[in-house]
Amino acid sequence: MTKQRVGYFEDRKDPEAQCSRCRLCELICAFHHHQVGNPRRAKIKVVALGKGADIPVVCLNCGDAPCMNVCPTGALYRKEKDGMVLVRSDVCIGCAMCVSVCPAGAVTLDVVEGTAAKCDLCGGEPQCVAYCPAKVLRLTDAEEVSRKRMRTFARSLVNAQEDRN
Amino acid sequence: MSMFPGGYAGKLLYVDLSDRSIRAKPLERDFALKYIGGRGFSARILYEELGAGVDPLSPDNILVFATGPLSGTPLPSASRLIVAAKSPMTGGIGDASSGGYWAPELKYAGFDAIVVKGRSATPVYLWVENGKAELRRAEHLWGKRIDETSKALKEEIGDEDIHICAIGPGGENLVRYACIVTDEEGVGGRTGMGAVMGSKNLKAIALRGSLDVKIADAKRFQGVIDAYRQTLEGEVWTETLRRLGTPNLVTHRQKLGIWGAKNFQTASIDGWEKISGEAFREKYLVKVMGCMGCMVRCRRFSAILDGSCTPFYTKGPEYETINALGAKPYITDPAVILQGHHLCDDCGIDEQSAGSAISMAMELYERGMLKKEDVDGEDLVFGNGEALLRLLEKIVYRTGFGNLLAEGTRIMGERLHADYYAIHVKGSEVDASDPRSLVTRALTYSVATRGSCHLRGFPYIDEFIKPEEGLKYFGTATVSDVKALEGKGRLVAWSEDWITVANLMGLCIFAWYRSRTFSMLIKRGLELVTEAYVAATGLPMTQENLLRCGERVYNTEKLFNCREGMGREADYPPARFFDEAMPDGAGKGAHLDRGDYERLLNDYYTARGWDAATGCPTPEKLKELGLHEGDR
Amino acid sequence: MKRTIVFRPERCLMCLSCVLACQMKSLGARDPRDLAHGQRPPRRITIALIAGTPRASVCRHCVQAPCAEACVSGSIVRDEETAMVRHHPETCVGCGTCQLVCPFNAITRNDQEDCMEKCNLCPEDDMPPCVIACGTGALALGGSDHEAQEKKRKFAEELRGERNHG
Repeated sequence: MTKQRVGYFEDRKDPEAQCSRCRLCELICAFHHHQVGNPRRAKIKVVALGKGADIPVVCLNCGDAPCMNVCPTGALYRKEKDGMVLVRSDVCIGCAMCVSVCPAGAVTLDVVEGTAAKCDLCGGEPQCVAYCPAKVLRLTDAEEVSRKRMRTFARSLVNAQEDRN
Repeated sequence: MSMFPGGYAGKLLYVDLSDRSIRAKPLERDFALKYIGGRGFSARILYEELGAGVDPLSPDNILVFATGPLSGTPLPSASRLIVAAKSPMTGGIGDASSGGYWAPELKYAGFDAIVVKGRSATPVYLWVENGKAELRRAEHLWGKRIDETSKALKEEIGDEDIHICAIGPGGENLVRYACIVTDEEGVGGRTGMGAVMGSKNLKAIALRGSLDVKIADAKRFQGVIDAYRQTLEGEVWTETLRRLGTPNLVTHRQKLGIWGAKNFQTASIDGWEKISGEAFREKYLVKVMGCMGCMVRCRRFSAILDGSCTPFYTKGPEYETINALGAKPYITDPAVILQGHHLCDDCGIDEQSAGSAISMAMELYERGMLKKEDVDGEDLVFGNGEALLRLLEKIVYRTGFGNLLAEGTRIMGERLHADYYAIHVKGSEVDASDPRSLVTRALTYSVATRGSCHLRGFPYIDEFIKPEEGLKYFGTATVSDVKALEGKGRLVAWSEDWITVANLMGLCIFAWYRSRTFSMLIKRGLELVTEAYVAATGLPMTQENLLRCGERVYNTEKLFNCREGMGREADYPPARFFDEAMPDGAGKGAHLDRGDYERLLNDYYTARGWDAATGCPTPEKLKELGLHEGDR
Repeated sequence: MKRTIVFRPERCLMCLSCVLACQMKSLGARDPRDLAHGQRPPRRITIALIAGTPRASVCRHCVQAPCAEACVSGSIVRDEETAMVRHHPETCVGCGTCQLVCPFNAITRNDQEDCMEKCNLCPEDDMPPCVIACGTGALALGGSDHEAQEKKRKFAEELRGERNHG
């Protein structure tokens, strides 16, 4: 099983294929997990940077997850190797160490329950992906993307080399 | 703890700026079931708590910010805010609607509505967070434009994620049609709500909320979300809105020849392609954007970065932008329109009324009724984009000729003895289109309780309703004939009640009340909305009852207006529409016929159960709706 | 937002000025030279090097604090209003159970008073002495969300150039 995360894919040349800041991902995430309307309880958040840059931020499912490493109680765990990092709320003491060490700010303490909250891929069918009207969120294999990146980077090196010759 | 199982927060925030008192009042269950929310809450509160004859810019006016029971829920497009008060433009009930994120955030902060009374001795802003509120000094914000105000507040409060509604210099200077801007983007534009806010010395309301909006029956609610999503598949109107936004209507206006260009002197525009939806998309669109939870995403986000002017980004333009700053003043340079739009939004004035005022002045200038020295030396002919931009700024700061323009066309008509050229209903300028070729549109604009409004009713149903549906709903199959008069009074009345439901719920009309088939309008706008209400709030509701709430709210607004002395005589379109024929375009030669209009108006009053002579609700109708004139 | 003390290990030099400042406050001393020789003041913060990274041993004010659950005399209580776990020395009997259960080694014994000691966030001070003493900003006052919002923003900024982060 490959390591999965929810990824953001936009096409800057297409005005319709970018995050529109509709925040339906936040709404549907909180609703799916807590049956309420409250985007502050969502595990995904759209960060508005201005000048038309809106970026959804969500757990990256790190290979060497700092949140898991730092957790003093073992509340953060994986069900299987390469699975998404999950939270055992009954074990979590709400110390917020995971919150402090997450590089993306993707783990928070739930405002109502006080325990660690993070993306769990909705058990395999992420709701944010299903409901995003712009279709810019996708369940993706993290490694596949980095392979793509490496290829793009390699190609750019080749082009640069060719320009020089 | 809210007494409502879901939807409603259960609390109304009352703020008295005169004595700085703030208190939360509980939302009563009966009140909620009778008036639902949004425009229902504001209309009833204004009718009950505001006496007749109040000066709209005095401390006695009441400013209401109202959400709906669906605001803050995950239902798509439950993003709308209603701001209401007695209007300084019309002297009757005024309200403006804005999208974005502010209304949901107010719900997350624990309130269904904010009711602002009195006047603060010094500039203040209201800070609301999770069930608490306080007034804070705003002298340092006074004078700032909307963008600067937002930045300053976010820094002061130390949080980028707060949501703000504010007035700009337009509202501070009591430009009669000043508006309130939410999150630097959405505009509660018409009827002068920004002037009311400015007259109270209230600069802004900033919110942060992290409270749950409960859903009484989550499973049922999920069903509504999915059913709604399904209705969007293959919906052409949605695709068009996403692709081009409301500017898609430019082509429609040109094709039907219903522009109100050159202050309603011409219905066709040379060079209209330059200001079409396609043109704006190609030249200036950065990306499409959506309000809270919206699957349609009709908002535009545009920019001018080519160096032709100081670079800027802006939400928009909308169709009404192109109408007000393009068609009316006959400007076909899209860059000018966008710059004007940005100025209006950043300074907080309604571009529709501003563009109308300038266009009226242009006509008067071309007719020699205004001389160059009257208009600050401008060569104020139609098409003069630079003059438009200069005058817009003068309106904001009430300098020079801008001071008169800032009053709107009605007062301009009085002061310049030029009433005929002031194209307004009840003091609010006619927008959307020229209705001379379709009398039902004229009726819709003219009977709207807040002054000329193309969204109060929904006569466009007659463009696509099937004859058998017409017979079933409006008693006659001829309702499906766009040109026929029969049944149209009833159609307009029904559509007003039906559209009002959206404004009660906090739903966006474009996402819910637009379709190419009448059956879909009923399915979405009544069936699904009723289902959503029951699933969210856990309260009992039927489609009939919901429509009845719409009717009750509409009648409450009419009662308000009647109490201010606005009766039948206020429900007429401008004389120009009767006395002048359209000179060109597809509707060339068309004008309103007085006999036709009287008949239609009478039919409308009959359908509404109102007194045809006074234009006001009869005691029987009020009793039927559980309203009593003068009751509490 | 409520007060938290944020620790950024990448800035920490392990100078232990924070420890000194905290101890001086608890002793009421203005000048370190006034400290009696051999005095062992109670410790409410310390910095330890663990697997090459400085780690602050200081109370995390856990939402479901194990010390509060374990306390036999009810002397440790979480206050939601201020989002902190408060220790009340008046009723503390010094049994040390809290010290055993704390995952962060943040609670120590005060031998003089025969009760326990832990960080209370110094609510009476505008700025806690440890934060003032820290020369690099490794210790700072933060909001109640433990800087998650700020980190999301920074992360989003980094992505801005890249934009696609699948």
